[in-house]
Amino acid sequence: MPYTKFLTLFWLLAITPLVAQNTSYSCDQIPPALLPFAHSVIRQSETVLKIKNDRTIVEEQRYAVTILDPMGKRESRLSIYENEFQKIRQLKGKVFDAGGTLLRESQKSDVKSFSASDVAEYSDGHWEILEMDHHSYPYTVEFTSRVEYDDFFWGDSYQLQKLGQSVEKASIQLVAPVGFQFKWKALNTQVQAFQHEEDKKHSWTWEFSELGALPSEPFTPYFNEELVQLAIIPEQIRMGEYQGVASTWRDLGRFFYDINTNRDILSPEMTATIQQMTAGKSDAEKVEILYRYLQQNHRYISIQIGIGGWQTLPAQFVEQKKYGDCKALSNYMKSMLKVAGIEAWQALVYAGEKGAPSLYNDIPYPRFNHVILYVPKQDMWLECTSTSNPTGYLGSFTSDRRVLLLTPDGGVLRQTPGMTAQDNVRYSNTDIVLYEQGNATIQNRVKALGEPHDVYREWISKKKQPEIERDFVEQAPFGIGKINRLQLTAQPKRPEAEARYSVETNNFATRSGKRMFVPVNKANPLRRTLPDDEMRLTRLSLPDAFTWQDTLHFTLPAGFVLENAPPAQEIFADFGSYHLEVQALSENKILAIRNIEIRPVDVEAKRYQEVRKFYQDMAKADASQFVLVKQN
Amino acid sequence: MRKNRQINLIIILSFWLVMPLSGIAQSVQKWGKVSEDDLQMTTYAPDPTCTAVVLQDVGSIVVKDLRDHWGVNFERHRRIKIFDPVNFDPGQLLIYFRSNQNLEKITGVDVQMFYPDGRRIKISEDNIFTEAINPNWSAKKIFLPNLQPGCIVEYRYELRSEDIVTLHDWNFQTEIPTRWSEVTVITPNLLEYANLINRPRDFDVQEVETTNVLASDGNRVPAKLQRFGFANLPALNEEPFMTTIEDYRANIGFQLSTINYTDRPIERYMTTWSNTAFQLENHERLGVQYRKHQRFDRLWKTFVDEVGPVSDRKLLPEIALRTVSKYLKWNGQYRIFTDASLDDAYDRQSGSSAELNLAMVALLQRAGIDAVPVLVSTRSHGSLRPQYPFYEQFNSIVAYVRQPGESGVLLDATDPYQPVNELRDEHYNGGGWQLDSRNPEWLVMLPPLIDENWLGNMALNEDGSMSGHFSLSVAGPIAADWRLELDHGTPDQVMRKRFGSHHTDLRFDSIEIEGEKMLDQSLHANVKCRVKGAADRVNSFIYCKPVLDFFMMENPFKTSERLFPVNFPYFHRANYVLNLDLPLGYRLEEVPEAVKFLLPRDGGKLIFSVTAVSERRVQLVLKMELSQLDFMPEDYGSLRQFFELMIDKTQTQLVLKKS
Repeated sequence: MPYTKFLTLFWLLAITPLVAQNTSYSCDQIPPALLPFAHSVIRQSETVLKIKNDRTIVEEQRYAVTILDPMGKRESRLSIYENEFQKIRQLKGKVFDAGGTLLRESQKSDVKSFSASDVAEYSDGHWEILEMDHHSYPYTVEFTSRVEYDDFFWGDSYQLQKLGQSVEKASIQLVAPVGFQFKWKALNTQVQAFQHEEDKKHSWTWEFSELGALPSEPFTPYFNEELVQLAIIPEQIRMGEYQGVASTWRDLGRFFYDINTNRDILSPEMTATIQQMTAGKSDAEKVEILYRYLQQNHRYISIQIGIGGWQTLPAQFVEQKKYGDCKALSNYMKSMLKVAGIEAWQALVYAGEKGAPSLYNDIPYPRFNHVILYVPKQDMWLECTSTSNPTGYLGSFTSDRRVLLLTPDGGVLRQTPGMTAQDNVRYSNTDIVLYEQGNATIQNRVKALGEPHDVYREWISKKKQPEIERDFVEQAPFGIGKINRLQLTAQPKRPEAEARYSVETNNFATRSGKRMFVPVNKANPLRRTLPDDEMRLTRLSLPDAFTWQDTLHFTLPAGFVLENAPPAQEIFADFGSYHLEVQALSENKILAIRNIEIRPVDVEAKRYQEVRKFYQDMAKADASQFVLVKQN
Repeated sequence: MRKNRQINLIIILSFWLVMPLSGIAQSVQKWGKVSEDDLQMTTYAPDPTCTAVVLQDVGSIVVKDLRDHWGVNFERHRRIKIFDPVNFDPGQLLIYFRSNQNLEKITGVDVQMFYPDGRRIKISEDNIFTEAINPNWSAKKIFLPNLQPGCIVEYRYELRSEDIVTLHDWNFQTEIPTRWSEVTVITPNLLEYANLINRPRDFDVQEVETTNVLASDGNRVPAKLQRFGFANLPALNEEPFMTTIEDYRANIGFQLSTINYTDRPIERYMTTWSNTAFQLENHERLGVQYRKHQRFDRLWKTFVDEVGPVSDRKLLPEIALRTVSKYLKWNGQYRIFTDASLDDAYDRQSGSSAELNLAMVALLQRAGIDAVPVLVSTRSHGSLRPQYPFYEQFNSIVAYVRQPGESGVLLDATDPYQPVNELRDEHYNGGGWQLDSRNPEWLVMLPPLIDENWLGNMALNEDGSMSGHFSLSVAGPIAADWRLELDHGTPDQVMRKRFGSHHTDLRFDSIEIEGEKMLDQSLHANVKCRVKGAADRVNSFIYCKPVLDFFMMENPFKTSERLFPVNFPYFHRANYVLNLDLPLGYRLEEVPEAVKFLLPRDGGKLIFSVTAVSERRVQLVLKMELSQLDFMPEDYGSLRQFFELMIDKTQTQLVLKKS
């Protein structure tokens, strides 16, 4: 009967979507434009952020990624962090083969827990990890997860793709009660939010499709700012019992200030000690005295519990335990300065040698991992976790980037001082006495200022002489037979260090028949090259800047004369300069002078080969040698 | 009469006690009693630059009768003097324990600190954290407040476990120096243990006593007390090219060997290798997996499909290897037991070394091929102890096909790029044990040879560039690395990494790869390339560096002395031959001297020569062979010299002059 037939058909239609959905994971269906440079392809990704009320947010995510080759392998693993405030309510996975057929589903026992902390750390959070593997490529993995945030929310940034990954379809949806206010910013895309209201709920949906892959290339700006990203930050944020507003940096700064305020009470004994130490001193002297006191008596240990990731432990904790993490030590220093009558502000920063991600003026999306201290009256910055930095010196760890100052009036963005090629200088004066077999005695005196001095200071503070000598031998660019002397010193008040050494080396010059080939710069090689790439697509970023000035005196072995000296080398470019000249001072003395200046590089992909050529020309010049010949 | 008794007493006492060497007998200091000397110590004389020294580390292991089962009580009291709080490794204050299924439980962690001025502070519980590290292990972390230079910290704890087969082992040595370390083991005579000892020299204390312990029924039963101790052990630090530092750490372990029943025949727990084999052959997660067909029916069906019409049985081992590597991916774990069934691993498409390699044994045995598992201890896990028949010393399995009258064939599916008869480097640790209760023999497994050959026909141009052809062929484990990289990247990327990586201006005009998929054969690459800047032209001279690539271009042995033996995982041979056409108008000014260097006792050789084949053609030959895997510290000097000379020759320059 027609009616029954219709019903049957209806039920069939109702069931088929499940099956149809799986076959859409077939790898044949991937648009060809999404394949170049891609090791994986996000087939579809749906993220729904539900603001339930002012205390609870639920984030649901389901995404399917096709892994094309072994380089995309890490996509088969999903790691989600869990702690007191964020609980994982669901974490499941499925594996499909190249044709899109479901092969298997994960079991609860497949999800494994791992600690999130290092040896010197403790945190009450941990990772839950699910790995869905398959033996042949390509294959597709689908993950479904739900995380519930209670009493903790300040925003999230979604990276739609990774390097080497393309995206077929992705969407992010925010569903909130009517009246919910927030800010959002999208990078590298023109996407707009599609809004919809229903049932007293307002939803915003951003949809993305057909995002081509960008290859993973060396020396890209560290934070992949060329990829599509979406940052969302609500106007009202909360952490535990603390609530705040986050519509501007000023407000956000105010929130972090409030969380961390009134934790600066020191004991009466400590207060008296500080007053004693700083009595009658100028402000600059007080900062110096207290910073040294902090450095000499306290250690870095990181303990994060609850909102401890954002709130400092009270000053009394550090006073008693004599250890703390970056927040606690900065707060402690701030508390000591307060007793001495000097105001200081904590500064949130993203620390790392490679630089920091940008902070956007129009949306206060925080990207920080460290805290330092700023003394406004002295315009001075203090790294409170370092036990050996000169007062006011930051080093490449936190230099030259925007930070958020937590002032009583709210948050203020400020740039930390940067160091140029003129600040980061290394001078060396080297005497090399050559012997008949090609071995040599090298005496060197190196003075390093600014960033080049950091490593010497670190060695001196962390290692004893035998370990310094052992590491020196292992890292030297030439083989060392014997160390006659090795002495490292660092200036307590300036970013300056000196190394003096005298060593015997076995293979400095190479002998061949009656000739000896002497590499001019073997004691201090430049060693800076870029791989060949004619089709580079991403920006090139090489942030270092430094100057080297080297003077080398060679004494020839008896019976040898100079056969050929290398011609003078001069290389100039936007990225720096190189100068080398070698001349015979007398029959058995040769002088070489080398000056190098390296400036920071931040250029578009099309200038990559130009930068590469500059480094290649320098490498070639640096490999210069002079040739001696034996006279009978 | 009285006199005799006195003498008897002396004899009895000295029979049971080995007197500790005089001067070394550190009286172990009790909890809370710290000597003034130790408090005031500012440096530890045997190692004046250490950040801290273990003053004493005292352990006791007691096997207890707990009514319905046995348990092991491990107690430890450790005391450390800290000279440098900032650089002191917090890992020294971590207590690891097996937390999965509550195998080990820690109770009663006590910590206290002493200051040089005499103050004693008890460390409260809010400074001690328990953290789950991974699904099997947890750790107690102790953070010391207000740590000053010169402080002494001591801590003690009790750990309970039910594993009486393998008792908690004891490390005498750690990464900081140890002044005194001792362990006392009390075992009821009912349970007899084999002592597995790893030591750098004789013990400073080694005692055996009879004693007794309380049994669960209230009676006292006879027991054995053993005590082992070392004084002044240096800090242990890893050096390059070693199997593992654990092979050299002073350590003792205890393995159950016999159960001495009084009312029935004694039960040998550690019996013979035959019995151990029988036990494992009947173990659900080992032998049963390959002996019971239902455990791997689905895998078998797939194998049958892969075999297809092939009837030559000699090809079956390779097909089994290929099938397992194709359908199961190694998850990075070394095991001797499977997690569940082989078919479960097949469904999951991943498995441990046990699952992958037992899968091959299963398939081959079912196909009528004589294949057995070979149990091994990986290099990082430490050396084997063939004299003690217990299986806990193994941590991984490979498969072995026996062929009467011929040498057998080894199979390892954990690396899909390795052919038949080649294992991953961790599995080469001297040998392994064949699991066959009728014939439980040891098998010597020598690693294969890495063979690299470069043959170049190039022309040197007047502008200092070199152009021409190179053919490379690699065989042995290094070929597996190449194949892995070729799967992950383009031939250009791989060549760039593996050939001439010291030359930045190397261009490949064409690259042909042969044999990429034929795992049992060597891999060939034929390249047409150009190197700019291979030579410098200065006035009327050209200085050319003709060695573009070799086994090593930088000496890995930088230090002048070495404490531990050098161990290479593979034998290695490298041959570089270059035929170079000189530019018009130039001749070879001087022929570099030929060199031949031999390592003592045929450990290796280095040969170098340059010959003028004709007026415009030169041939350079550089050959290296390492035919020994282990080099004792006494031979380190010549080994270092060997490498220095080799690197020197890779930097050879040919001097050409315009004629």
